[in-house]
Amino acid sequence: MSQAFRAPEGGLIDRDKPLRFSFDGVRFDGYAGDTLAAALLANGVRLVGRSFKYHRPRGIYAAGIEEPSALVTLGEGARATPNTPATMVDLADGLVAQSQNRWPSLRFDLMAVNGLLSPFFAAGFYYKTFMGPPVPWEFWEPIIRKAAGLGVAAREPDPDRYETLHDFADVLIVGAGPTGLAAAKELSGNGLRVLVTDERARPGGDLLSRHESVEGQGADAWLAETLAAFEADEGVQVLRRATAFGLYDGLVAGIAERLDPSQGTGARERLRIVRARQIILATGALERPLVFPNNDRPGVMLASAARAYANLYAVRAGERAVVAAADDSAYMAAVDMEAAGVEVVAICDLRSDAGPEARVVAEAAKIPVHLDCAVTGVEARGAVQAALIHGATAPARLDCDLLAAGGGWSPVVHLHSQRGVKPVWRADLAMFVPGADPTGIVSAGACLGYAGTADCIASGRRAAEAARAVLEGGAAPVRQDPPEQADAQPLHSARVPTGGRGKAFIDLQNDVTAADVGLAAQEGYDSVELMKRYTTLSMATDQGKTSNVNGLAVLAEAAGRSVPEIGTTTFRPPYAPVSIGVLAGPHVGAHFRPLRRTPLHDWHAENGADFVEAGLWLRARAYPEPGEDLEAAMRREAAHVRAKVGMVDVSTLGKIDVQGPDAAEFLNRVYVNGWSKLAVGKARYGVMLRPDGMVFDDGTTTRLAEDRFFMTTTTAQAGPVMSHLEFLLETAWPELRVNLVSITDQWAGIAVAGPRSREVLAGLLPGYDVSNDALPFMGVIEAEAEGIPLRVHRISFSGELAYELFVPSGYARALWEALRMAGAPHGIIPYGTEAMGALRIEKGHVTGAELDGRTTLADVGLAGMASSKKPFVGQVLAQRPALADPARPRLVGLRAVAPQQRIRAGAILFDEGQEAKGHGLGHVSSVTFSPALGGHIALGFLADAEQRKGKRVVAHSPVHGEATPLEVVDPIFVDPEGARVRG
Amino acid sequence: MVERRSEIHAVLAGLPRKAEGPDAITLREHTPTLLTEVSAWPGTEGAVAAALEQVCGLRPEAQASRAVQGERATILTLTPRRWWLISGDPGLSPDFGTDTGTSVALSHARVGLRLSGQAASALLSRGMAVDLLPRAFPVDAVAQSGFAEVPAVLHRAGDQDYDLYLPRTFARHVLEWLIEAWPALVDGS
Repeated sequence: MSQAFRAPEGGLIDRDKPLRFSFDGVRFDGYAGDTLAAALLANGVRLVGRSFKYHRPRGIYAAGIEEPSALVTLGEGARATPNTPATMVDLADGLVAQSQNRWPSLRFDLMAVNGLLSPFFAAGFYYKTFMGPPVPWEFWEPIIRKAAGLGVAAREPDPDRYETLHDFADVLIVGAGPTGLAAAKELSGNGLRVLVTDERARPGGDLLSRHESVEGQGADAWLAETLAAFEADEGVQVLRRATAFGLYDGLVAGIAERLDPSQGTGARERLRIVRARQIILATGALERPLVFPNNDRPGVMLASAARAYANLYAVRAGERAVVAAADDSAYMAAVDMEAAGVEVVAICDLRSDAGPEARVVAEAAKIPVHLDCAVTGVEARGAVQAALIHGATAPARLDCDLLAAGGGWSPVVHLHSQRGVKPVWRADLAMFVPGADPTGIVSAGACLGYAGTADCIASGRRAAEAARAVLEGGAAPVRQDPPEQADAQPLHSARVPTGGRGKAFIDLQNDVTAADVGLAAQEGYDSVELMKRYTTLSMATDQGKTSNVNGLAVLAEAAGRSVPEIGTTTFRPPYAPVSIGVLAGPHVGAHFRPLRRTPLHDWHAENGADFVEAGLWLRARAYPEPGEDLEAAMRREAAHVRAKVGMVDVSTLGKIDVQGPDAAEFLNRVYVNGWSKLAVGKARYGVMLRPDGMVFDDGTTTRLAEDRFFMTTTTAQAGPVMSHLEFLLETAWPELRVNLVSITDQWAGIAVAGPRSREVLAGLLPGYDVSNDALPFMGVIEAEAEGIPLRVHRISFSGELAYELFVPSGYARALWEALRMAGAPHGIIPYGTEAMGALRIEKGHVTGAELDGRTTLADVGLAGMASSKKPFVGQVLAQRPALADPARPRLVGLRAVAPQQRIRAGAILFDEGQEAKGHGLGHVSSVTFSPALGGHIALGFLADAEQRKGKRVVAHSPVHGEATPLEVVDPIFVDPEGARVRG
Repeated sequence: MVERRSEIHAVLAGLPRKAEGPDAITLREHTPTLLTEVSAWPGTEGAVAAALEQVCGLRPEAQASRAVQGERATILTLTPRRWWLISGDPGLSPDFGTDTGTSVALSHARVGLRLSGQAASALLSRGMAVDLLPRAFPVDAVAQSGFAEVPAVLHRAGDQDYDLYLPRTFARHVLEWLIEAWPALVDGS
């Protein structure tokens, strides 16, 4: 199709770069510099989408980010991006766009039947009709969601890259219109870092779409000169296609940048997080629509948009136009449209008079002007065919295919509102302006209520001076006041004609009409916050860009109050829709979160380990042999350790260097047991409580010197324990001279366990005495094996004779391989965390499953550890009656009555014959198959545990629908006397 | 003594050896032979600083987040009472007791990466919220922050040279992150 609506010359497009694109499968032509919306209009495409609820035909309504109707799905397959305003899409060769919310086609949409049923779909329809008996909402919801809505997100993983960039600026200027550019110009050359950000492809804002003089020269010349000055100043950077969507604490702004994936790092979008010292908000203003019946039909458009299409893209938005005005700027739009080849048949002005300049230019262009004249509707068959008019001098009906409406301007105060600044209604300006600027933020230009370009430029310069004064001299910030007018201005845009036929929309994106707002008020939802939620006006991606003020005004009228009495809602981030991809940035796939590997990771991987994610760690959970599944590997490995010897990577244990003259006293205070008398070269098991008396963590700590300890924590609690201890030192006991350093990464750990472990150790350390006398249980020696320095701790987690060897991480693999060699004659094998877990359950050792923040020392059978001779963290609150109640569930062992019947972790325990209802008598915390006992066993917590020992209970798992009879036994299943450990 | 194993050598070796243009960033392992964290108690900062000077001939910067580089060592002042002594000499050991301060070996706990090139700051800015403009982060500036959500210490060793110290167990993750983030990375080892 030729570009029949494109003027032969003019616009800021590059006619030497023709582009081809497709919309709904039809190929069109456009030019570099077009937006998708401009190119569609150039090709005469009027119908581009269907509305959210009623499936009404919709066209292109705006020319910028405020577009409520022309939302398209961009791209195909995994790259499809729904709900993209066609007005914000730069045309590219091969671009593919689809219309949304229609079936089977845009032109013939079966769901348009919703429009016929629309009398039933008034505000609150869903609440009134579908919430409650006899059929629940859950039944209706999927049906309704299918019938209403916009685009559909791709189901496939997004193949594109997104990135995050941290940026810093002395002054961040949001908006590259005349105000923002003037501010940047004022700041340039001063050695300041100035970052200007704008959502459009070109800086200039409304200067681009207005043919006017700026400071004695043409707008384009002023713009070119200004941008050239920035090119020469490294300190000024102008971002294009970069939407400041959020403003946060500490002068931090979130900016979503649309990039060209063929350039730079290949990212499609970038989240730029800017930390600024001062922010100038030059966010401009959006034109306010007029509310009249059928004001949503394709061919109805904002006057500023029709002007932008004419001047920026040399596109006629229609052949024959009626301009509905409530503001002088609509006259300028009419004149520019006429100059671009659109026949403007009338300006219908709601006001009794227009400004002198507006009158002059309209007269010069010979455009008939009708004052006190309202457009009361449009006739449309698909698109607009005629405007219906009520006015003393105007005909009642005028044929046209374009109705350009300009109802005045609304400052963009969204970012101000995000910072908690309530907009203030100014009756003399008939608009909301920002309240007091927050610290570090300066408002300027049209967002402050200024209208003319000259005033905006002056305002931008004042803002720059204020920001610079604060930066250079620490001067108190100076706020600019909005302009003032003598008299209150009527709010024409919200005057809804009476008697017209058809829906008069306020919020086109959410299909909310003036009648909906009136109904909300009538039904008692006359608070702005209630009305908003009841009708969905200005919700979601639209954030009220075109609808907010008219909605409030209609509500005020219906409720018999004034606009300031009604107030306004809070705008929230994001200002405009932001893709999930840009928020996720690089944190996807393998980089979803940091991955932690032990120093032995490569050996595990090279030797067939099956890995499991444990927190951030990747741990080897078993080394299956050919034909073995995980369970079989675990059983084999655990049985082998009990029979011979195995070695396991325990590098993930938290390790903390505790050093200083008061180190022992510090441990006395944080552990429940005593540490002063621990000899150098000895280890001790310790338990910490939280201040509330619950068990926090456990581990062994070794005294390396009088003033130095090597503390270990559980893998899961390593970080929290470090924070807890540092907090105590900094706040509770600053007088203690103790220094803590995390050495988790410095030391790798290898446990060697099994009856032959001493022989393995003797083989590894031939020059050392590792006998029971020289290295008893809880003994520690420093050693060197084949040039590798290491520390040997005789500690057991498995219940077997065992040692933990700690070695500087860079030597871990060498030690592991040396152990393999030394252990080969004794049949040593590596074992993983699954076998380790089975062994510890057999021995009744507690871990995170038992120390889950709900258990006390007594609950886990460790009450005897608590020292009565010294205070410790958690001691007092642990004495609370509920925590000391002897009936609390206590740690028990559980054996499946049918040994091969699996027990489920989390299952709830009940007495035999007791109804399985409620919280039961306790729960199962850890489960395993015990190779040593030949059946399934578990640890759990059971009320009146002592009385129930030897009896049966039933573990009910509602999730699995299973009930497993269990015998209650002692939690130490293997070697209860500890002979193996100490042997 | 057995040789220390590199945590990242194999991944670095997979990078191209050459790249041209302003976007090229050279990456090489810069893990120090010796990295000792030294701390003082309130009031003993001077004594610890003197001990450091005695052992390597460098007086540490009193100001936090600054570094001083010498022939035998580099000292990063992390806080007013905490320093990193970095050296290729494994024998450097400041001499004082715990009445004066503490020292803890971290030579195996950190992996050092040196990023060189005019685009290095642009890459670092993708993972770290630190202002790297020379005015704000000059040579020998030090920052402790998160890089790609991993705790990291950054030292600007030269105009276009940055040393990034990462916990050993996260180092490979960060290296893979860097490779993903910047197509023009070159192995400079």
